[in-house]
Amino acid sequence: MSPSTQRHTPDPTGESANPSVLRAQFAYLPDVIAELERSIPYASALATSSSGVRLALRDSEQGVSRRDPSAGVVLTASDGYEIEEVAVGATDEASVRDASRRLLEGLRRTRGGGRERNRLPLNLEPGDRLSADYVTPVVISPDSLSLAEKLARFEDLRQRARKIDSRVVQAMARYGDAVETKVFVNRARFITEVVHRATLNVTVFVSDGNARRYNWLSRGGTGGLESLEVDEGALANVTEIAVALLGAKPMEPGVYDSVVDPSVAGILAHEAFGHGVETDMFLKGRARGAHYIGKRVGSDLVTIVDDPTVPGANGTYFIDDEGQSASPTCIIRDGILLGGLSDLYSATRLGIARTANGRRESFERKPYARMSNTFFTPGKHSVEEVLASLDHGMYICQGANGMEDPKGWGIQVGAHFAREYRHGKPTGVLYAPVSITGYVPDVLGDVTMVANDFHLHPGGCGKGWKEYITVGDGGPHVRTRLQLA
Amino acid sequence: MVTRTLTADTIVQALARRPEIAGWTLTRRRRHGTQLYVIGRDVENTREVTTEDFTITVFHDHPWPVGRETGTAGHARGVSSVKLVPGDTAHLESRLDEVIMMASLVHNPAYELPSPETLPNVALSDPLITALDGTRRAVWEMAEEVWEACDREASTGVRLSAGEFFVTVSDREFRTSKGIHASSETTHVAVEIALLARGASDDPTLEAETFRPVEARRVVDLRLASQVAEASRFARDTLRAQPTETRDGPVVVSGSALPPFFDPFVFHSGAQAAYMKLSRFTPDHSVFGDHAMTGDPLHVSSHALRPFGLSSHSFDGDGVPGRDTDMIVGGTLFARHATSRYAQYLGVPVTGEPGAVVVRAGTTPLVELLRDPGSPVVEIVAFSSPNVDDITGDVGCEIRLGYEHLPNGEVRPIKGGALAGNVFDAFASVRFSQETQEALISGFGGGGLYVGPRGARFEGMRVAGG
Repeated sequence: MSPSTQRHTPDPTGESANPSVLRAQFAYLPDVIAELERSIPYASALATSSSGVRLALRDSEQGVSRRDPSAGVVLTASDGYEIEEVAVGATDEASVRDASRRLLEGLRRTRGGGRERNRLPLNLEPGDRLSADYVTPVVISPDSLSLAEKLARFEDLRQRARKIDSRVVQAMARYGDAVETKVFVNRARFITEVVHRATLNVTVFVSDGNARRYNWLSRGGTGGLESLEVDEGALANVTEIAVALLGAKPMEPGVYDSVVDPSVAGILAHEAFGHGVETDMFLKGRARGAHYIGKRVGSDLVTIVDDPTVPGANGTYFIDDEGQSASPTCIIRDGILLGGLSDLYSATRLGIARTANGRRESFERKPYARMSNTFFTPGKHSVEEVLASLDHGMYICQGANGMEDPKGWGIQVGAHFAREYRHGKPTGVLYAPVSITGYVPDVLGDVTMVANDFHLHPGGCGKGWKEYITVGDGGPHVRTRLQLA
Repeated sequence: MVTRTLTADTIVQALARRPEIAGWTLTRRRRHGTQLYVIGRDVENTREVTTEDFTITVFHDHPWPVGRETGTAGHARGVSSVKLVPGDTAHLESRLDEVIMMASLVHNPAYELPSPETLPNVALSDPLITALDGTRRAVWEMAEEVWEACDREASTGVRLSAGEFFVTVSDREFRTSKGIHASSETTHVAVEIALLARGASDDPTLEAETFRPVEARRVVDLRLASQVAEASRFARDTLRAQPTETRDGPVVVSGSALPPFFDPFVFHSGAQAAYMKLSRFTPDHSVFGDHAMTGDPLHVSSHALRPFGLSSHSFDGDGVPGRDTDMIVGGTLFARHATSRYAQYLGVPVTGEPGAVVVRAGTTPLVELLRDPGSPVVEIVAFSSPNVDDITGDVGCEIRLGYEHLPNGEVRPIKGGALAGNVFDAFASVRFSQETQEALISGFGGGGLYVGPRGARFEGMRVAGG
């Protein structure tokens, strides 16, 4: 084994999140893997845990709890044809060795299950030798504040939001911090990872006595409290928009010249050519993108990247859940689709290069090809230039949700509101909510300006309707034409 | 070496040694399941998952901070939770120290834990899964049923792209400082299938897909063969669907596309929403505000006792017995669904957590709702995502598949574009089908059961072209 240990930072959160402690705790795993590989050609182990606190604050109610300490181990094995996994909500050696025995039993039952099936050979490779420990750099540790101090700090923030306007009927603050550990072991690799995470969401609800509207801000990602700063201007802006939305008009359906803010651009990138190039979907015949590699899918202003190494972003990690070292993947460059995001199984089956995108919701779920931080890269125009170019159009803000359609290349993105623009200036008219639909190559093909700003937003992502993971998405302001309703 | 593992009795004894606690609840959950993932006829992955955990919630009474007094009890109640796993024996006392400390720091108006009551028997476990000798056999049975159903569709150009099959058996033990000691056993089955339809062309970029998630407590309730048959038809119709055109006019939302439209009604009927000042409903008043009700009367109930219902329960997270509750009657808020805590805060009856959402059907056959002598009727059977805002009631959903029913009887599949509107406006003039269905009300994995009309016709929603 050739050690190539990279980043080390002092671990402020206690010994359980210390790489050396993790190595000692799971020192038995290489032997478990070796024992499994006496019977089968490939095995690996992933041990994960998470811990931290969550605060939920609102009028006359406070909640505080520890995050679920979801510690467990999943053993993966292949008999050269299929994959079998056993996951246990325990990390002690006896439980894991028992799981190992059940794993082999399961593989024997798969082979001898009485079903005659044509099985395709599967040759999983363990990767190059690597022994490494990684820890998220933290500037201001969540542990630098006591729980009482955290409660006071975020309750104060909530109260300030609550008092900005008399039409505010409720203000909520949700804070969470976490330490997520990961240990991956196969015959070539023993890697530990400690990811620190802190997030904050403030939501303001307003009412005019009848209608109710709301608005929110989110901060955070990987790292510490340094990413959670909220100034008075940001709080006031959240409330001002929520109040303005009480008078928002419904969007008149139609096609509009549009500028999308980075949060909306991020969801467009995520839904259009994030999910659309997850290579497990290639394998299943569920992604049209599989047939467009090397072909134009957007204007030459469009470059989309998935990058799990962006410092501080919500979808940042050092290794994926199958032991692949993190690195960026350029999905689209200058409008040309270059390739996809892969997990171990689909990369092996398709005979393509692995990217670091094999991710699980938890040890209780299988890995899929998933995104990390997905974004448009910046262009050359200022944001002011891009907005001033809207002669008659919409500035679409505050991305809220989206849904993929990798096979049909349809797209659905929900945005919280849009500002009407005439002759390069806002008219003061707001529309809400905003539904963006359309055909992905049209949306990307109509991109005519890309701004030089760049913002990543924390988010969550499901695959279909489940398998939730943390991701980041964003980019610059982007001008295109969109079908709105 | 002897390894002591944590037990519920150990935790209860430890809690009893803590006089500073005003009350506690303990939930022990054990789950064992098998997951099977297939691509076509090939098995990708077979997984076995076993977990056990204990969730401890403690209550701590203490004086209000100066200037923060709320309520009439004279003291604040703090609450906090922690989850432990069987290997946490050595950490039990320190975790209790921590959770008590956390509870002492938060200040909520006082409320009491419920006292023991007789609990109803609610069937929540599929005997077939036990009869099949475990979850592994059950997932294979489900996969075989899907494969056979897909084989029957092969001649129509439809094939199985991928399938995921989940069977989980769980048991829950619940104890409280008030003397509640209850348990329940449940099963949960879930299937996701993606079907691909190919037309005359061999070009794979011209294929169409239908994705269908279903879940239930019993395998039989998944109705896998009919799910495959309907999904196959949807895939074929998607293949020949034309882009949706912008129009104002009657819209029928049917099948699994409809249940999410009731989410805002359930949310605003809740005591928690009222306590948070977010509910727009007032007891004994129309849920449509100033809108005149010109359609079928809206009746929405919660049925926690429905056998094998996804959100049915014998007792809820506080130990309150499951029960059926009428929430909206004739378009008027009749009663709020209220957990013990929010019932005490608002001074309304306790109903416990909601169960299945049951909506009274109409009197019109679905085929009649789809007919209009003056204009085409758009029927939407699948959205890309059910994007219905619980707070505002706003709807903005991309149309994955719909049908245009023309006055001459012709039916044309459509796709793309969006349906936009607001449920609180649209339901005032809704007409429900007399046919009913059971479906998921909100999403996969955490959604509950919807039992109600199979279709609803709206006059005031807009279809935006794609």
